[in-house]
Amino acid sequence: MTKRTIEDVEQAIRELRVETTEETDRKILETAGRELETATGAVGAARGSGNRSGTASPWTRLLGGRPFRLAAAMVVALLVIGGMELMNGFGSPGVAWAEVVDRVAQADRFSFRLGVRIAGEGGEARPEAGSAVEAEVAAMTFFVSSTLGFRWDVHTEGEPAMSFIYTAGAENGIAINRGERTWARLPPAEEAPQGPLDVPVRDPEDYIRRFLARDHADLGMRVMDGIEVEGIEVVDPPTRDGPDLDGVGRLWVSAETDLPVRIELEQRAGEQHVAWVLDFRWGEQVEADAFRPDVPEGFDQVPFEGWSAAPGDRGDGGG
Amino acid sequence: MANDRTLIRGLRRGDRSALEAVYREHKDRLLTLAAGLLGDRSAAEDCLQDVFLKLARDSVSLAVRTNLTSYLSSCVLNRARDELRRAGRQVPGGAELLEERGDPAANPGNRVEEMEEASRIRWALARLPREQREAVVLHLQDGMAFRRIGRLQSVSGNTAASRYRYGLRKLQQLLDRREEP
Repeated sequence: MTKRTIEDVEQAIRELRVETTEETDRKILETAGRELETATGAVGAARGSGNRSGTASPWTRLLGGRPFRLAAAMVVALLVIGGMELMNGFGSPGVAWAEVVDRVAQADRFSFRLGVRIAGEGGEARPEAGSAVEAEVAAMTFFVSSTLGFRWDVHTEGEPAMSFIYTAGAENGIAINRGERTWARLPPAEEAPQGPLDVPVRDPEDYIRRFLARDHADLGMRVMDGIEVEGIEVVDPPTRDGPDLDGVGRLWVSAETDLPVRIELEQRAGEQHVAWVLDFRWGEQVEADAFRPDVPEGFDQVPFEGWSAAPGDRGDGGG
Repeated sequence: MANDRTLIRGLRRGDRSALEAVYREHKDRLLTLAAGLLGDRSAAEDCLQDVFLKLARDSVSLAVRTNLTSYLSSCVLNRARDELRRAGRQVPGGAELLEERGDPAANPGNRVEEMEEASRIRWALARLPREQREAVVLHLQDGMAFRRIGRLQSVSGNTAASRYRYGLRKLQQLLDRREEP
């Protein structure tokens, strides 16, 4: 028998082919199609239109709902730190490419970490653009899922000290104060006051368009947290409906996914230099347990005393 | 056929027709790749399904903009590695992966011969060390360059090419030994 050459072996492997069956095709397309609809919430597109017109974007559906309005209001409350005037108009995803606007509009599962820095009186230098968040006076993480709900953690020394949880479909939320070992039942989110964050966060597409309507400087490419990003800088970025922010706004977008990775907003406030940094994560899986309103054992219930005092005054017993 | 960029945009919008177009374009290539790595048709089909479920699930934040071929191949490789690790099993190879091309009724003599040959090749592939099998399968069945294989194996392109050569030599020896009277 003639021995095989290496070329024979290569050819034989090249010719090995397996094909799917119709049944396999049907099964995979059906399950993956359902998953796609769940992931994007794109019922209209799933019908084959491929067109978003007439279908509310997940952002609009989600951010227009109570949990996010509440989040916006709570952030506003928290950011009034040390009597400092609150910046009017918080950053939301946006970038110089029209595709990014579309990408952001379609995303319905995301989280972002918000860090707040104050420089000036304490001698801290003005933070460098794109630098890591250090010397924070506040750090928070927001998890938003259109199917699971909304959760907001306030961190102290890297650990969540307080959590505000609104489970999807529930009228009331709960606040947990781990430092005080207390918890409170939160009123319906619709009763929360509206804050300056409300509009930009609820309608990021609009905010991005207005952001991009300003002259901007290209900051070029860099690697941020292991992600290749491209940035732009806008002087006096827009706010919700008041005057422009007296400062600068920077937007860093992933070169791979076209989704915002970070927004940096800086403002002079008297002698202080204030920086807000939002680090986004898109489409990440969050455990359903994170949205369950479970009160840790041994925690005492306290009355809720109002949003204005909730997170800023940590001695109020759970917000 | 729409280009990858258009299809990716469609996926991000949740467009089922984009998902179907991607599936139709890549399904047989990916199933072949999975079968080569796993040596089992049923496991290969599960792998294919998992890859498309992941594609659908991650559509909003898909970490790829222009090259679905390469992205999907990497997904199959990762999924196959997970499966082998999870099951703690050897690649079976052999008769359970008979080829399905062509009409079995047409020229049955040739068909049987083809099936036997495929079975021998898979039997030999299943006996390669994982790294060598990956290099051989990815290069020959997926047309992947050694540099990229090296990146997926966290080694240099030269090392991946060496693994490929060693793998082929071992396959040759295995097949020769099996066919000795």
